[in-house]
Amino acid sequence: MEDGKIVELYWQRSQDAIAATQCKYGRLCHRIARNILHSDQEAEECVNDALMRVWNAIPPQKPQKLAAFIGAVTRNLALDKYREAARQKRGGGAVACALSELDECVASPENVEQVVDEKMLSESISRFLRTLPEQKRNMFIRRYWYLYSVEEIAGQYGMSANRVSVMLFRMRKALKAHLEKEDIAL
Amino acid sequence: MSRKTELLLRAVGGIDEDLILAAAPRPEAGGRIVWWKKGVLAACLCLLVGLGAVGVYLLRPSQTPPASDPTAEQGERAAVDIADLLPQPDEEVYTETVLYVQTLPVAGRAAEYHKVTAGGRGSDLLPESLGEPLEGAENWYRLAGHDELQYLILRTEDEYSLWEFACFVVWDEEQASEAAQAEDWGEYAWMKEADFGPYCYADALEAVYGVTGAQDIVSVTVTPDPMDNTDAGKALQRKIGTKTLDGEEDIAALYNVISGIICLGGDHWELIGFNDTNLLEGVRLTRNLSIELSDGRKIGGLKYTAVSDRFYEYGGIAYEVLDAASAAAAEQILGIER
Repeated sequence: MEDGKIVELYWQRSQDAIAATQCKYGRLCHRIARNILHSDQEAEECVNDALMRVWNAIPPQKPQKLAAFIGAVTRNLALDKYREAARQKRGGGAVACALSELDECVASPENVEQVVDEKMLSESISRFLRTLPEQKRNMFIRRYWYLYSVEEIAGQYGMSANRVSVMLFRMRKALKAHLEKEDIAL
Repeated sequence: MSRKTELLLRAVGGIDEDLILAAAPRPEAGGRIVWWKKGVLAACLCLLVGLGAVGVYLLRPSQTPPASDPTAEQGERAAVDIADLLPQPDEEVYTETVLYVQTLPVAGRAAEYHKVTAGGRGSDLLPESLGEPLEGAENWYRLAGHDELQYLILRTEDEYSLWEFACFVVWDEEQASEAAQAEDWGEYAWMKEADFGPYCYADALEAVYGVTGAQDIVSVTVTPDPMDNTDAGKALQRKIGTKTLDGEEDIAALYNVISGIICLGGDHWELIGFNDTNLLEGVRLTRNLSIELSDGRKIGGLKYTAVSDRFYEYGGIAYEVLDAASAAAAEQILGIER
């Protein structure tokens, strides 16, 4: 079923919308959540929560790209769950690893006074990503949006994990320079 | 984690939707095609295992083995027959559309291993098939009774899995330069000392397959490549047919050629040279080799094409061009007529 039709079902408050969304994007969402939570059961719960969140969000929202919309909802919910688990000392794994990598893009982690608008930051990162060659751009997004492990990405591109690590390292350095150039001090 | 780092991770979550969708690891998103040989399944054994979304899961060191060590009291046992572990000829097995890859330290180099689908009975046999541990790689074992490293077993807390050697990793200058600048190698610190230069196939034959000379080879089965599956392509494949080399002279001559070929690493399809070649012509000039060893194992994957006068393997693994004399010898042995 086309995304537009599914969104229309949401607007009609037809529960078929949820089934159609799950059918079309359930696996993608499960993978996103599992990359973060490393648990099939928690990922499944997360996807269910995401479907409910989407049900509540549409209407009034009318997403143009349903996959990205529900993907983002799932990612945020999974990160929330991850954060809760980390508080209970059950965290670790891929997200902690990705976060520690992103630390390199932050000039002064101790200085938390600076208020940076998240939306503005997202737009700046999008601009940065558009300057990268397609392969590197997708690699970056798979690592820090989809939170695939370096090793998984290495396999997806037929490269060694070390090479992927080096490429990501260079992209993080370039991102830091880009943010500084745009006067976004993190 | 710092609040700013978390903010950054959240901000990445808000990047433009078209970028997110374009990077989604799904088949239509692009990426390289990986062909994977399924040794014993059937004659048409090439299985496309991944188009774009070739997910690969490299097992993490945190996946600890069970407390007990099944190898501790194994004592002297008969060598495991790999044929018992692989799917049986008529067995239907579930094959994931995922290629699992692991890089391991072997003979001073980084060896790439691919996960192999074990048969139903083979899966049951894996726990009792553990042999000697692989040096420098926790939780990896040879097959019981085997010194060579063609197949390895990985033991994790969840499962035992079977892996097969694919190639040694070769880096080009750019890759080597990038690696030289890496500071934190993490669990791959051993790679700092590894050799990533081109290598002689004889090194792989000896270090991985345990083949030290032509005497270790019983026969070589030569088949046409199924790259053209049109009616004309299939007809040509039938015309070429299967050729078995089992004479000592032929085997010695072939070993003499392949033991000297230099591997340049993977993803070198441009060197292999099929881009501008009519596929029918490709079938005519290409042969696949299956090398049967004296202990019953088989080495598959090696191919020769007179399109570019070189051997190659799945994944675009290319070898240096043969000199004219070696190419002529190879083509005569393999039955390729120009």
